[in-house]
Amino acid sequence: MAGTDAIRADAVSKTFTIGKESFQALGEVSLEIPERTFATFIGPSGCGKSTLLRILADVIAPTSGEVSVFGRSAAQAREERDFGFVFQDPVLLPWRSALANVELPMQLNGIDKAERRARALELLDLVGLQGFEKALPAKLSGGMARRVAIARALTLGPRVLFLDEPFNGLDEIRRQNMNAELQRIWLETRTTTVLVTHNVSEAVFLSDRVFVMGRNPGRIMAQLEIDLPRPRTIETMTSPEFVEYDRELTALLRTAYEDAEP
Amino acid sequence: MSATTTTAPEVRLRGAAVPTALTLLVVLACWQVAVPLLDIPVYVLPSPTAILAHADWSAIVSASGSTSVGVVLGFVAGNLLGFVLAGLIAWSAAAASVLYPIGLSLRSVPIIALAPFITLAVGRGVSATTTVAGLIVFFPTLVNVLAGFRSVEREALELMRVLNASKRDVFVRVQLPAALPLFFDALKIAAPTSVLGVMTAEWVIGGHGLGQLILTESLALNGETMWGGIVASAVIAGLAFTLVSLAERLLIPWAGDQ
Repeated sequence: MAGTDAIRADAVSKTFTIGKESFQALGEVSLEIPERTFATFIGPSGCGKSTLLRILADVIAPTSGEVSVFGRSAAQAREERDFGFVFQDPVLLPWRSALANVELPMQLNGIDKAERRARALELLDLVGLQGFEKALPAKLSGGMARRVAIARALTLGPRVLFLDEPFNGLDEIRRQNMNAELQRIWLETRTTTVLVTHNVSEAVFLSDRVFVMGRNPGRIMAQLEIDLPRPRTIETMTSPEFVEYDRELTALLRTAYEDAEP
Repeated sequence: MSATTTTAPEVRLRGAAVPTALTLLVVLACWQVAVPLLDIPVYVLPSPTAILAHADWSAIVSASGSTSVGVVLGFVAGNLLGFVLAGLIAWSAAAASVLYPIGLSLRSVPIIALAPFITLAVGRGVSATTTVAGLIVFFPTLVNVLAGFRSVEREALELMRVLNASKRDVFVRVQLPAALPLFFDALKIAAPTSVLGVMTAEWVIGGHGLGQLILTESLALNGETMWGGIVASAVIAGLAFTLVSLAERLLIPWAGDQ
């Protein structure tokens, strides 16, 4: 899996200012994510992991520091539509069917109707939603809406996929199923992926590399490589190696919490 | 399982129609019985059957036509103005800083105070009633539609940014449709308000509509025709509201399931 870095961040920081109050969400964060890697940010709430993700995707600008994506600035990469982003909330447009929601990025990109329809159907198929093309978001379950959001993020064949706690609010079993599906999709596409989560076993199950983050200010405290064969399965989760990774990551995360709450 | 079916609008309407009709019948029956029982003079409140039998219906129908024209024109003009102003305000901060104070001050002047000016400016008749109705209607629509444009979730805007969407695309594909449910709420408020605006104008400025008819018939102590006019104005307002509700269900069916 070695190769060039897909994403590099150099001393990226972020300070939010609201009125006279200012709050440092991120200290100086530097990191590298190699191409075709599944990377994860894990940490206590308020450690700036979502902020860091948004900076990497050029959704918000850093206060200082630089981000490069495949050798260009994050802004350039975004403008060239290199990114797919899945938010905590699926943010489907309620007036558009599942199919039309998946078509949206292609529509904005000026891809003709027949082509985008074919591609959207293919993607709905990939996320296991055949038969629900015409359904409006209000008629979809939480898990189905999230699948649509993932399909939508994949439409333009992004070079980097950003996932901001995409399975938040799903119960444990649904979350495990969605993780297994996400891994399957990832194995098919091998898109460089950056996930934000606060769930340890989710991080171990999906990632090649996990960044453990602490807060006040947000920073990376540790980095852990997960070297487990793929595809990982429900059985993998009970293997001694998995359990050991889980224990190790939990210990690192515990330090991050303790550090933040003196 | 595939997408489930919803209750069709007609079924829902029919379901509500039965209790509504019953309530109406009970009210009419009480009214019919109460008038002779309480010995109410006919020029104040005639019974429903007396109104039906003795009102000058041809005058009422003709006045209703005149009023309806003003209602429709004022409704369209006022809502169009409110919608366009809200769109401009949502689109550009510069436009907002100019247009919002203008809208607000236009709204702050009591419409009655403007009536003489309106008469001088556009004359009497339909042009005056339309202007008054439009002026009464536009501001609630402006406020509602503006709230609609601003109701878009932050993450939806972030999504559009990730997709490198143009400002125009964000507006047309996200903000505009997101504003439609509140626009229809505004239209439902505007429907009866528009009738009020036209009749106020007819009352103050004159003309051939129901406002004028009700005023003159009351002065002539002609209770039946006066009440016929009142009923007709209620019917026009109710009809306008119903038409807007129907249009809402047909045009934005997704909004009902939110």
